[in-house]
Amino acid sequence: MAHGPDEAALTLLRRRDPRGFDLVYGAYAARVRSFVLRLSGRADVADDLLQHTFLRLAERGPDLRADSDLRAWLFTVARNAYLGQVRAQRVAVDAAALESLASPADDVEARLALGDVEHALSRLRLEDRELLLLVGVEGMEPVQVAAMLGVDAATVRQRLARARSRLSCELERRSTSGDSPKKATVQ
Amino acid sequence: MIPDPLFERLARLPVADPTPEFSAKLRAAACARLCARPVHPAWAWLVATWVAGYLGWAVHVSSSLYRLDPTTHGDRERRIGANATSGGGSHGDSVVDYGTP
Repeated sequence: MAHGPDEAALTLLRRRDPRGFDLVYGAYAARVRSFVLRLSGRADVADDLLQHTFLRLAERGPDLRADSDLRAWLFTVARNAYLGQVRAQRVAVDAAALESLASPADDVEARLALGDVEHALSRLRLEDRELLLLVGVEGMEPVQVAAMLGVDAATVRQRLARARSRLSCELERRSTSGDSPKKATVQ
Repeated sequence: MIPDPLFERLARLPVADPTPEFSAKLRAAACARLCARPVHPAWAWLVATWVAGYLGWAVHVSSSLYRLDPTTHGDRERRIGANATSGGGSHGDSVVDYGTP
């Protein structure tokens, strides 16, 4: 379902008004980029996927229904594009680049904690990572994620619980072993 | 929903803004695609009609090249007949028929 600003943006997009695109870009570009950056672990891949997603919006935007869920649509396009790239070639994750994402926090401790989360996320399987990103970072409901992934909500909840426990284990392991960021590979 | 400390940490993860140059380029490219209006159906019909008309005309013209005209055909027969009665067309006004395609 489209909410307030999305509805206005969709109305403009359906009239081929560039202001509609600007509204969507302003609201979602950074979030979509963060999502694909955390999925892929590479800034160049993230920029490619961001470009692909928003150019697709420019092409298909005028045909979207007025009540479309723009956020879900954008994340679905970005995710599918990333999966296409993964199928075509394995993408190496640069965990150090992900940790550098956690720089805006003021105090060093908080920054390190966020860096730990980024690193632990990068070590999870792709399926776990995307679920945690969509629900934990983006705040989507399991029902919305289920619609995006084409599975039912109960499955999403189950998989989410498993992904959460794996992330927790990874964080614990990292805090006990004092693991340093290394290059990992997307599975 | 019960607050989950792990999800709270995830929610605090920062966003990664694209660079302003990248955004400017992307906005320009998107605007070009968004503002490019699709061809109106009337134009498509116009072009299709013109192409069909042209093809029809071309078929008509090319088929008329091979069509046997009854008046011309009769005339040729008459001329061949005259040629035969005049003694075999050795010289002069003999009509040489190379055949019609």
